[in-house]
Amino acid sequence: MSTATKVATITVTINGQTTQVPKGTRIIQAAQQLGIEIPTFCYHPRMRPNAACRICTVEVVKPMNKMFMACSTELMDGMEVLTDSERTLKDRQTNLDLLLTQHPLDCPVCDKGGECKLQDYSVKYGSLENPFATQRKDFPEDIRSVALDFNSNRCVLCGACIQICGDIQMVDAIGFSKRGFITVVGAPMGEALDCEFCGQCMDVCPVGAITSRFAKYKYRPWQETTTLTTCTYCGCGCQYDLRTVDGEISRVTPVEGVGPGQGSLCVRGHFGYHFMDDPRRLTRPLVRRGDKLVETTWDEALTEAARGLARAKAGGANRVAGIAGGRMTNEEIYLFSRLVRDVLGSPHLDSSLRYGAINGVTVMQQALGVTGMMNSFDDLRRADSILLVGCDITQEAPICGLAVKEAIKKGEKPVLVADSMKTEIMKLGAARLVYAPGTEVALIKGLVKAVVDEGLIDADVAAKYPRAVEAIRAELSGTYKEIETPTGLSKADIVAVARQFASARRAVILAGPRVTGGLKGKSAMAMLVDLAFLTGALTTPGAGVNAITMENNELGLALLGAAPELLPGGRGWSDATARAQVAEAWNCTLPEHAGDTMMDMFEAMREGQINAALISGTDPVGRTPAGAKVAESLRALDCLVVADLFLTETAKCADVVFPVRSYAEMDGTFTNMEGRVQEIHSAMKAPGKSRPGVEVWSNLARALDHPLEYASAAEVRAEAARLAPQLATLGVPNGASAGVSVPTLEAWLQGGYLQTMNHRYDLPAKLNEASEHNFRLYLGELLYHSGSMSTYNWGLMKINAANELLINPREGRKLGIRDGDRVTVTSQLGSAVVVARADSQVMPGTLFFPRHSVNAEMRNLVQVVVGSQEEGAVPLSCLERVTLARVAASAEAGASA
Amino acid sequence: MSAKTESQNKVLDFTRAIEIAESEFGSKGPVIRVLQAIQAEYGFIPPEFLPEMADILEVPLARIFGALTFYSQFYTSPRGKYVVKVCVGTACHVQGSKDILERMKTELQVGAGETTEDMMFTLEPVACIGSCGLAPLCLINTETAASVTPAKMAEKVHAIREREATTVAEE
Repeated sequence: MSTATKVATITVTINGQTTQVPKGTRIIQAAQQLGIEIPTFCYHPRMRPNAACRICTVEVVKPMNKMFMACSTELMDGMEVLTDSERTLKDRQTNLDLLLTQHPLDCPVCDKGGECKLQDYSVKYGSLENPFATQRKDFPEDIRSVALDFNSNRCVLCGACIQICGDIQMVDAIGFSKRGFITVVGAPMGEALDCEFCGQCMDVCPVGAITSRFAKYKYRPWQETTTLTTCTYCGCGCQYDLRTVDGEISRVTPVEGVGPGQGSLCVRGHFGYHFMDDPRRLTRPLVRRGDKLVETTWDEALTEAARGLARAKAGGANRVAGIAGGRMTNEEIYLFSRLVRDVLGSPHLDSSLRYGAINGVTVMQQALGVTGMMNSFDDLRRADSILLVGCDITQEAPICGLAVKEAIKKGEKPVLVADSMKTEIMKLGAARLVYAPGTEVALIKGLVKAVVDEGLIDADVAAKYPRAVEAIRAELSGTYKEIETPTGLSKADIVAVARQFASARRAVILAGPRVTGGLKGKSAMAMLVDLAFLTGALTTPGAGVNAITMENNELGLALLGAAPELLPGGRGWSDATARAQVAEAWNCTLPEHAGDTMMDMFEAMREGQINAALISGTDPVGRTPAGAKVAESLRALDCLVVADLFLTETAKCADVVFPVRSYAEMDGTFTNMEGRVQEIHSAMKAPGKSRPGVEVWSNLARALDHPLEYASAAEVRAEAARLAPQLATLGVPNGASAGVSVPTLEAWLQGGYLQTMNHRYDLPAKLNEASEHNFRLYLGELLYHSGSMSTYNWGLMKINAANELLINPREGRKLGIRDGDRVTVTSQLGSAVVVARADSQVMPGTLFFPRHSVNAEMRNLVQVVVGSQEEGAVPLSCLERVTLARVAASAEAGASA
Repeated sequence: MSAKTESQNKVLDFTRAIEIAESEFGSKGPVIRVLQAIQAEYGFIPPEFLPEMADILEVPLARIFGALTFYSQFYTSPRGKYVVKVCVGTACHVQGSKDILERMKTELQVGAGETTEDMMFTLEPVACIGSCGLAPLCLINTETAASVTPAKMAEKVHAIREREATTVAEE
C-alpha cells in the first residue's frame, strides 16, 4: 500500500549470521527467516505472543548479556542472539526436564506420537537423565464431547488452544481451571465441551492433549500420505491436507499460512470427511427397470441415457434440460454445459445457483463487471468497517467469518450487523439492527435513504455522477414510516448505522442469502450496490460490495455460465458478442433466446414441454423447499439422467444414474467466492466403478455421436479458460480489490442501472399476516451443514443432525414448549412434526429450521415461487425461504430425548 | 455435610447478584470485582449463577470460571458464619500451630476446609497471614487472635457458641 508508513530497518545477528529486519520483528521471527529453529509450544504466527511456555528462551549477548524469550522479545538494532549457546541449551534442557517430570510418556498410544513437539524437542534437546523427581498427573481422559478428547495428563499448559479459541475463533469455549499442578484446560463448570467444534484448539496443541475422536487410533503420522487439496463444503475454498493410510482417509489437517483461511479450518472442513467412504456410495451405474433401479455396466447405462436424450431432442432441442450443481469441479461444469448447450443444443441450462446467489452474482456482474466477490478475505481483514446484511457469516462461510472477526479484533469493533436473527457475529459487532424476517428490501432501502437524506453521499461521487445520484434520490421520496413499520426498526437506528458505514474509509458490504435469496433479491442487491456507490465504496481501494456464495463451486457455475442468463466467462446471455464467441469456440449455433430457469423447467416438465433432463451434483428433490413438487416434475419426464455420489432423492426419480467421483478421488479445480481457482487432487481409492464427471460427460458425448475428448481435467480447464479467462490463473482472488474500473462503472450508470431503477425501490407486498399462521418459518444455514454431502457424514450428523426447529426461548415458554419436545408446525401447504429447541438467536415471531435438513416434511411447508417477473425485462424466479406457519406442542407423544 | 447440600439445593434469590453484575457491565476487568461482591453478599459464589453472570457482563463463561477456580479466596459452596483461619505458615508452625489446628478439628468436629453442620464454623488452614511476630496466629472472620494456644482458641470458640445460643434464645 502506498499510504503505509515506512518501517525502519535494523541490523541484528543471530548465531553469527547478520541480517536486516523491520523494526518490531521478534527474535523468533527473524530466526525463522534465517532457517534457525527455536523450539516453542505456545507461539503461533497468527497470534500475539503468549510467552507462557518459556521453552524459546535464548541468550542475548549484545547489547546486554541476558536470557530472553524469543517469541515475545522485539529485536533492537545491533542485537546479537545465540540460540545454540551452552547457556541456551542448558535452560532449554531444564525446561524439558521439568515438563517431563509430569508428562505421562504414553507415546505408544498417543495420536500425537511422531509429530509431537515435546517428543521431538526431547529427542533433540532433552537430557538422558532427568535430575528432578517425577510427579505424574492422574486425570481421567475427558471423552464426553462428540468430537474432541481432552487428556490433561499430556498437557503442557501452554495455553495456545485457549488463545486461538478466544482470539481467532472468538468463541471462548475453553479456558484454564484451577491453578498450579492441578490446572486443566477444558469447558467451564467441569462440563463436557459443547462448542462449534472447529477443531482449531486441536491443531495448535503441540502435544496430544486435545485429539480428534474421529481419528483416534486410526493412524500413525509417518504412515500417512498427504495431499494438499480444496475443501468441498462452502464458498471459502480452504486449503488443507487430506491424509490417507493405504488409500483410506485418516484425517484432515490445516496448512499454516496457505489459502483463504491461512490455516484455519471449520467443523465441516475438519470433521466432514466421512461421506467419501460411506457404504451408501454408488459403485455402479443404475438403470430403471419398471419401478426399480438396477445395477448395470457403463456401456449399457451410457447407451440408455444417450437414447433417452436423443429421443427427446428429436422433438426439438428445447425439450431437453440440464441442471448442474455447485459441488462439481470447474472442468465438470464446463463439459456439462457444453454437453447441454452444444451437443444437445438446448438453451435450458440452469444450476444450483438458482437457489443460491444467482441474484447477487448477476447484479455484481452487470453492475461491476465482477463475477464473485469484489473484495478478498484480506480486504475484509483490513477493512475499517464491514456491513453485514442478512448474512450469518459465521454459519454460512465460517472462514470468511474469521476474516470478519479479525477486523473486529483489529479495529474498534467496526462491524455493523443487520439481520433477522441475533447471530453470533451480531453479538461481536458494534451495531445491531434486528429486522423482521423477510424485510431485507425495506431495511436496505432505509440505509440508502439515510445516506441520501443525511448528506452522507461521497463528495467525489456527487460531483462526478450527479444524474445517477438524482435518479436514486427520486426513488426515495417516501417517508421512513414505510421502512419502520415492516422492519420494526427506528429511523434513528438506521441512520446511525448508515452514518458509521459512510464515515469509514475502507467500507465493505457483505450480502448474505437472506438478501440475494429473497423474492426481490435482485433489487435488494442492486440497492446495496447503490449504497456502495453513494458512499464511495465502489471506487475506494479495499472497499466494496459483495454477495456471499454458499456452495463450494457456486462461483464456478457462474463463471462457466451454468444459468440461462449467463455464458462462460460469467458474461450475460444477452451479450451477442459473447454468444458469438462461444458459438465459434464450440463450432455450433447457440439458440437465440435464453432458456428457462430451474423453476420454469420444473413447470415445463410437468406440462410435458421438457421430456428429458440431465442433473449432476445437486439434489433438488432432497434438499430444496417443496421437494415433493420437484419430484412430481421429474417423474413426468421420459428420461432423467442423474450423476451423483449417492442415491439421492433426485436420483431415485431417475431412469439412468451415473456413479461419479468425489472431490477426494479425482483431479480438477474449484472457484471460491473470492474467485480463487484452486486445485483438488485424487487422494483416495474411489468406490467401485465410479468415474470422474469429466470422463462421464465425455463418454456421454461420444454416445451421442458428438465426441468431446480430453486427456485430462487440466486439458478441459485449458479449453474452458479460453472462454472464461478467470480460470487461467490458480490461487489468486479475482475481484476488484482496487475498486471498480471507471468505464465499467460508467457503463452501468448509463445502462442497466437506470433501466432497472423504476422497480428497484418498490417494496414487496408483505406476507399475509392476517392468517392464523402467525410465525414466520425461515429455512436457513447451519454451520454444520452445507448442501447434501454434509448430511451423508456420520461425523457431522453426530455433532449436529440438522433436524431441530429453533424457537425463541421466551416464546417457547409461553407456548409450553420445552427443549426436546415434539411440536407440530403447520403452514398453508401442510404440517410436520419436529423436535424443538430454544435458541436466543431466534427472534420472537420467528421459527428457524436448517435448510439442508433431510426432513422433507418440514421443507415442503415452504412454497416454491415460480417465474416471478418482478424485475421488468429480466425473467427471474427463485425459491422462497420464508413462509407463515403455526407451531404447537405436538399431540403426538411426549418429550423425546 | 448434609446441611451444606441442603442449602446448596435451596433455590437462591439472585436479584442482588444480577444487580451487582449489571452495575459492572461495560467496566474494565469486571470479573473479580463482581465475584468478590457476590461472595460478600452471599458468603460464597453460587456456581449456577455463573452462566447468567457471563451473559450480563458479556464475558465468556470460560474466563469467569478460570478466575473463580484460580483464586483460593473464592468459595463455591456455603461457608460457616464464623471462618476460623489457622495460620500454618513457617513462623506459626514453629510456634506449634499444628496443635491448634488439631484441637480445632476435634473441637468443631470437622476436617480442614470443612464447615460444621449447623453452618456456624468453617475451619481453614492458611499459609501465612503476614504477622509472623504474633505467631501462632489465628483469625476468626476479621478478628485477630495473636499468640494463641490450643486452649485459648477453644475458649474463643466456646464463647461464640454461647453467645450464639443466647441470641437464638432471645429471638
